[in-house]
Amino acid sequence: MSLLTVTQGTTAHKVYRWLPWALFVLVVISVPFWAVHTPSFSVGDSNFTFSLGNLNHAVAYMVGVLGLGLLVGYNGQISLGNSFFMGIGGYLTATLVVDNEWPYLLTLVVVLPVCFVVGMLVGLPALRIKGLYLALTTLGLAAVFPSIVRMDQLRDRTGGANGKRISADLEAPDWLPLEDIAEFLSGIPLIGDWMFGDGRLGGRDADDVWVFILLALLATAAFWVSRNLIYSRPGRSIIAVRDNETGAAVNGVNVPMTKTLTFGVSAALGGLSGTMYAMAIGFVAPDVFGINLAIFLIVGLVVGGVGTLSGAVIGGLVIVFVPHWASQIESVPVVPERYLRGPTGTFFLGVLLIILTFFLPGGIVYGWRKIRARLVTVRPAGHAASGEEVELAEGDSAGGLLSRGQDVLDVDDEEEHGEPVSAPAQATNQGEPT
Amino acid sequence: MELFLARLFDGLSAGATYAVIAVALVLIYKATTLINFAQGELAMLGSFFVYIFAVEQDMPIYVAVVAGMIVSALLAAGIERVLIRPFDPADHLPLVIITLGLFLVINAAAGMIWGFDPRRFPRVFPSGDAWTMGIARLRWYTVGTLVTVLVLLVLLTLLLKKTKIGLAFRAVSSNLESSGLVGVRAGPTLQFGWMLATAVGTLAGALFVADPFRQLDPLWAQRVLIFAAAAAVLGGLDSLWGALAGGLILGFIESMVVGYVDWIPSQMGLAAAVVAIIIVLLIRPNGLFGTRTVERV
Amino acid sequence: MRASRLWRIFAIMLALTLVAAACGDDDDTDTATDDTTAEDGGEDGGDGGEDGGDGGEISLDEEIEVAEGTVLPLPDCPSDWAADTGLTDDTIKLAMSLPESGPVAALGGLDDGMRAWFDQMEPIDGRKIELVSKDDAYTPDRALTNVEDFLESDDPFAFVWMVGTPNVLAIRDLVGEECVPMLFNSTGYPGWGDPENYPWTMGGLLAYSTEANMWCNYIADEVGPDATVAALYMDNDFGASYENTVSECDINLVESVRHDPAAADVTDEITTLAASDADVVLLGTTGAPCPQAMAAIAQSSWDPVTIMSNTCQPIATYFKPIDPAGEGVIVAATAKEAGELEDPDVQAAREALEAAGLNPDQGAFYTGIIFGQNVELMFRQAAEMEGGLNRVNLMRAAWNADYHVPLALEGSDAKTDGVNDAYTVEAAQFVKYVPPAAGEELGRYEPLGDILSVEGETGAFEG
Repeated sequence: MSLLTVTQGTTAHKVYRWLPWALFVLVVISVPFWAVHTPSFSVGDSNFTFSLGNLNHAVAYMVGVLGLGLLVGYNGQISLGNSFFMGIGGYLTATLVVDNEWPYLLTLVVVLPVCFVVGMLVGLPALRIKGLYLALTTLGLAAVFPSIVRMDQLRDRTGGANGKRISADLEAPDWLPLEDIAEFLSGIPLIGDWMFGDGRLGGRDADDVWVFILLALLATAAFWVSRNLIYSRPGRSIIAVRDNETGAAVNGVNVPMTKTLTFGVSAALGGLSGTMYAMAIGFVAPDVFGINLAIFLIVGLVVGGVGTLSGAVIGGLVIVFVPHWASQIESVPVVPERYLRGPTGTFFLGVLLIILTFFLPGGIVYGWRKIRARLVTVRPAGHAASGEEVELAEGDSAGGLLSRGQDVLDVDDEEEHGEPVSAPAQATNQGEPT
Repeated sequence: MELFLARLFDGLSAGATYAVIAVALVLIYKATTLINFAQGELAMLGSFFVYIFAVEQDMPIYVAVVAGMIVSALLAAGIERVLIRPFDPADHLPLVIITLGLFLVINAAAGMIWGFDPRRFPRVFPSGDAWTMGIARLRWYTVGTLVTVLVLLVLLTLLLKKTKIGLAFRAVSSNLESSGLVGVRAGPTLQFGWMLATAVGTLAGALFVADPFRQLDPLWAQRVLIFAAAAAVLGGLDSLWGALAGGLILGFIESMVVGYVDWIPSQMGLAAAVVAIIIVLLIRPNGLFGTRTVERV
Repeated sequence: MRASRLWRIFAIMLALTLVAAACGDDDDTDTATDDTTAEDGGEDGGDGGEDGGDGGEISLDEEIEVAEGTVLPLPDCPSDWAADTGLTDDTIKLAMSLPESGPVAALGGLDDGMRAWFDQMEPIDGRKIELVSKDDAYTPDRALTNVEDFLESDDPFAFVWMVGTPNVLAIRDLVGEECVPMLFNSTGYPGWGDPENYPWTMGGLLAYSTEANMWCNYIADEVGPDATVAALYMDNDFGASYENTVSECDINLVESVRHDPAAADVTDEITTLAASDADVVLLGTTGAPCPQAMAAIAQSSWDPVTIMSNTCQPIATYFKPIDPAGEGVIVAATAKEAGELEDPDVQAAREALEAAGLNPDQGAFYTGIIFGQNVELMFRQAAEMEGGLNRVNLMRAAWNADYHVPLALEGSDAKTDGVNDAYTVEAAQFVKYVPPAAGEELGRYEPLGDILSVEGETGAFEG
């Protein structure tokens, strides 16, 4: 049963497919002007804030999660060391901007190739080391990064243990009518004043919005490239290697080359994410890129949804905002305040992760799709005449990692990227008439 | 010579410690083919149980260790039943996130309850030296830990090889689906795996913090977990005796390589270990003593 | 199955609705609060009272020299800046970001200790201090976003006792641009005493470089100029400050090693140091490695003079767990010990903690009291100035401080004088640990010589 039935190819279906995207773009454009005023909401005594600084931080992490997702979710190589590449990217950007006075974006000319090559080098041993062995070895690599940047030989460049402040600010260019947009948004009837304040951008606000715009553009580029990669011929090879390595080899896929290149691309995305981090925070320090970040990236990946691209967006938001909000919980009903002393933020973060896994074991994107499938049914054009309802995206949630990835990927095909060819096939395969 | 012996004993001491925690990791891996991120924190919690029994309830330390092992095993049984069993054991990712969540919750709860200041833990072995030569000292503590690991490994091997529950355990760990077909109930068997691994973890934790060179605090497990995991990987994730070998090798790498190779500064011990692990895994992808997996097409 | 799914969906929708509702409500309340604050300011001005009224008179048009070479560049401040932001008639709002989780979570009790002190002290000009704190897990990015949050939504009067060198370095420019005082950085990085370039921020601890310099002098004077020295440093910002100073000292340094802050213990490093058989060992580390190193040295055949960082001064925290292994360890103490029960100031501190339900022997809580006393005294000094308590007067008080913290050692006064002397804590006394005698609970420190003061010289040491 579902509330709405949409037949493929009709206007309704087009609306169904593109409306979320239009809304998403609208949100992306307006959110910085909202977040710049640090809106907050309170529950009980706790006050939860949503700031542009945190949002920028999250956008940087999205690309890191995306890189990890490409490797783990699409290529099936369980490597957890992507924080290592983020560190390389962040530190390269920091030193080039500070010591060589390059503009931020120019540093990508160095960051991307360097991370790509280092990623390929790390990917070579991964041809032999597999599964949890690879996972734990790369986790070790992530744990080692802070000691490397603290080394005396690198101190002039890395700033050693104190970290490196990037004093060059990203300033909003004059030609960009940020003030006008803010004023326009504030002028929207009913919600304008309430959400966007008086429409003025004071002090650093305009610069923060500018940073957000840059980061959003970089992230969009990264997602666009990843999407095109996944739906190209090399992308099919990447997925084929994940699903069945031997089978892929038999079908003419150069397995070692595919795996190594995926490692390189994943690392380059990690490097980009590091650069974006440096742009968002303006400071790099050794322990930022340590084992904790590596673990957080996994959390973001799994909570967002393994084997989806959009899961990385959710994942980036989750790993920044959930710990932040968890640490803002001041009171809990029934629990006396004296027990809420110390690392309460970490405690609630853990509880939230466990609860989230119970409700959405496959990640938020997957869960959302299930809900949407319950609300809206897409009827393939070919079956329209029979009048039968076909439920999509009802794949079994108990499948293993790889089969889950496959399910979601197919859904991805059908719902997000509108490749009409695959949709009916999908429906015939999975949907049973009810 | 003295210095060499001193480093040898350091390596032995650290290695035995890594080994005993690695054994707990190997047990849970054998049971679930899963790395349990919360394993270290469960061991930390277990060491606090032992502390409470021994210091606050005035039990003799050996009784307290056993009591701590039992309580933590019961806790693990509960965790397995409530948080792990609802999920498909073959689908690892939700389970990984659950164990990560547990890792955060247990660590934070311990900090909230007991604070982060170091505490003195009762000694389980005599504090003096078994043998000395100049600065080289073989401490009774090191000897005791090594002996405990050996006894533990023998007992575990017997348990897994000679008992019915051990047989079920091995059946489930070798093939979950077929074991179900021949009538082994996977749930309780996995639960047993959790209990066993956690009890061993509590023993490991008690041994770790009982070293007079270390103290009890809620962060000790975080500091040692990455080394224990490295030891388990080095020895082979499904090999109990490999965990001992891996632990000792790692201990020696840290003390010897870092002590004698001038261009590796001492804070890079973990880095040296990671490089060594990569080299070993390139030659033997399943660790030194791990079972080679056969890939079916 | 299906029913339960529907329930889940229902629950999620319900939750979303609640959140949305909460969102709506609270944005309204927020605006309301903002309005009230603004009105408050207005009223103060109307009263013409000592406090807010004069705060309102500070103009952003000109720079104000608050101390020798220390100029507050008010024209560069944000246009909505006010000298009395964060003040109401009966409260002073202060903010702090500190690690309550992560590797140095032990410091997470500092804010609780400070609150315990603020809650029982006499109000400052009728105002109680209200401290808001956030967890940053000791990472600079979270410290930065916490500070941004504070600035946007809490409007604190000042930041106090922010923890961690990288963390404070990450936010120093921001609080400078926002012209918010950031007092007593809770790190001994020597770079904090730079009022010429960073007039809005100052350090609060004995600079690690000063401490290390005292070590060097102590070695030369008391152990002997030819004494061989070995040193252990934590491989992070903290250990680096010691290492930089010690390596410049005129001492016979024969061996120095760093240990990974994330390592399980420091046994290997102690073996390397023991092999040098040096006469003196310096322990430039903090937290768990302090007792680990002391215990390992005590059981080795090596018997050096051990000098340890004063961040590991609290006896109950760092010495009690290894008694009697800490015997004879020397520390450059800057404050009275929590165990000096006969001292009335220590009694007052313990009572304040016990009243708040905190264990007075837990290091971070007791240190929090010391931090709180610093804040109280400096704010009182600012409140006595012409114009009463405002941000400019607070910085004037900070850079012309002259007070004595009850828990500081006798003879150690907090004194500053702009660029001439930009450090509050510049005195320490070498003390030696004496383990508890039979029947005693805690050991004690025995003074070695007089209190050493380098008043006004801190900036001269290499950091």
